[in-house]
Amino acid sequence: MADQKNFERDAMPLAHQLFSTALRMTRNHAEAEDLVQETFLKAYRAYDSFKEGTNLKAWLYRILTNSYINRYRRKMRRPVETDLGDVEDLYLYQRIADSSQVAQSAEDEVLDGFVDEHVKSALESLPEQFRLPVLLADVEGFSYKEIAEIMDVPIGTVMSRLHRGRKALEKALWEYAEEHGLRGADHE
Amino acid sequence: MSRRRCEDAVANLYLYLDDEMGWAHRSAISWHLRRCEGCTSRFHFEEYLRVVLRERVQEEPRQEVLDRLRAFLEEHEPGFGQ
Repeated sequence: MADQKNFERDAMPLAHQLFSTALRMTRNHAEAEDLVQETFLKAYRAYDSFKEGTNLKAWLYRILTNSYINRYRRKMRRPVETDLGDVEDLYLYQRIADSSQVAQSAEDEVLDGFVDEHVKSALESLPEQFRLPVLLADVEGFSYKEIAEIMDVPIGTVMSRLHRGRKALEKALWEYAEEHGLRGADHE
Repeated sequence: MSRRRCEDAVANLYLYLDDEMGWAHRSAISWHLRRCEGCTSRFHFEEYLRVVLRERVQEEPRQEVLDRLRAFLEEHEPGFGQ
């Protein structure tokens, strides 16, 4: 078991990443800061129960995610209002490829044209159930099994939410691209 | 290029990019990708989308936020940082 006196050395370097994730979860700087403080306080107090040599980052993210879900439980229980419905596979790729504004083989360059705020807004537009797995997998690089443990849901649920969340993210990005013009048009 | 192989590759694109599939199936898709320009382009796009997502959404907290976290822990847990 881990020794509490090593907490600062081991856990504090991960505060940057947890803060960044908390910000995408809460969409608010002050709330993200509160959430990270709560997470680190709980983690410090429970550090004696952390098994040294296992995945500290996943352990901290589990506490972060639990704290987030507990804080926003009322909101999370509401039915999903956004209709993620039938978004086809490769949605964004296909829309860009079909667009007459984009030169052939310039699909990647359209991605370069997205500014930070558009990508953040697209991610933050996803309902929690879908945003969390996308954040944990695609931004933080956790495996399906780790995400299942962090979110305390079965692996099948992680896979299904991740799949739907990614497609919804692509749809949101396409809407931004349409609204703001495609950079790939430069290459026509 | 066999349409069935393209369909299989696209259907399993996420499992492949997430490195969450069995060795044999993964090898079959890698083999297909070496021969199919269309699927290679699709896979590359989805992979690059993740790079763009990761780069665009990560946000470093200001030093004062980290200082406040440390002060908060010291205030609530006198043993912290000793």
